[in-house]
Amino acid sequence: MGRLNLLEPAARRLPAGLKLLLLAVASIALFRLDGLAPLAAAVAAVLLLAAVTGSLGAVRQLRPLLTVIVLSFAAHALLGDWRLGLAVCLRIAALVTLAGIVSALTPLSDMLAALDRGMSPLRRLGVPTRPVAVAIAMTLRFAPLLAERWRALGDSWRTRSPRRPHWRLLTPFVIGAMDDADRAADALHARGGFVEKRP
Amino acid sequence: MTLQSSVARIALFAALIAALGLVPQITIPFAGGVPITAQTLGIMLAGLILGPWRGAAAVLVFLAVVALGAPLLAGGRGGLGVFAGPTVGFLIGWPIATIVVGLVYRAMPEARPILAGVTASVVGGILTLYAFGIPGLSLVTEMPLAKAAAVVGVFIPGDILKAFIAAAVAREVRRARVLA
Repeated sequence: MGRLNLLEPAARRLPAGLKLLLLAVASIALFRLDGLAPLAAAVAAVLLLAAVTGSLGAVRQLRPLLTVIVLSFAAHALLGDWRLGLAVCLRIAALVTLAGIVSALTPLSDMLAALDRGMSPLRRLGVPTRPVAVAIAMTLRFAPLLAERWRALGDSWRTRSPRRPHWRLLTPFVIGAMDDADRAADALHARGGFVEKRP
Repeated sequence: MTLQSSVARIALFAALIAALGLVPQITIPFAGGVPITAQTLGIMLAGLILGPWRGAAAVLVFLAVVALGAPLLAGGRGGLGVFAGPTVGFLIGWPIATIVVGLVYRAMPEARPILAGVTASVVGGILTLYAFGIPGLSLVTEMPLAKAAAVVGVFIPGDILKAFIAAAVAREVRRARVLA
């Protein structure tokens, strides 16, 4: 059997902005689409797209939604219109998978660059956008560090107490994060604050 | 507060909300040890500790990072798909809920911190949030509003518990540090 993901390199190279625009247009179209057959065709088309771009993993995004999807189908079935229920499920599946495909094919760095370009009109108006970029970069850097600190706090709780750690750990956790923020602010200040890069 | 301090606190709180989605669930002993997803607790804390505007900025930065593709939403979800799913109303409601939490908390400076914290968390983090979440669910799934409300109603007892925890944590943090 031949490999299906022939279009993956091309899809990855496509500019992030274009992919986001296509996703927006397709999402609006999916919201306006009605009827079982057209929506089933849409799901088939999205799955085919996922296969040829090597991003079938995007289907996994549906798993956490399973409860809500099943509940909404059941609600419609109970109200006497299972066809509408199935149509709704198909639409959600298509929407979520399609968005997942775009995310899978666009690296974070491309998304950040697209965000920066999207904010460029603000820059021209004199609104500083550098703080937004810095805040996003800091969040990405600190999230795993703070998760690690949460584990460390849990460990030190367990060495001192026979009880399991619980929500009381949140207080030192939040205080620690706020102290980190003060140190990071000093570091930002020492590096000149938010000087806009001039080309 | 300087711009650097503001940005650093906003970013660290966004990271804190993200970290609360990464860690194993937090247990509450007096509720029979039921585990709770702590991310909505982070939304309440953002409003109580950072105030309405910086708190909302932190939530927006967190949502931006999720939209860019980082799998930081509880359960390792992330990417654009979460904004197309049935819970999109709650995500849109998060920053607004944070603003309401912060404003209500600020409007009650004379009240006992716990009372003010719980009131703010319930009005912002539950009433305001569900006012966005339920219509969002109803819109995406085409369920009637009452049905959608019934589906998410099971989460409300847990959210009330979170309001108490958020109020208690905010009081302790404010005792330990002066947050201008």
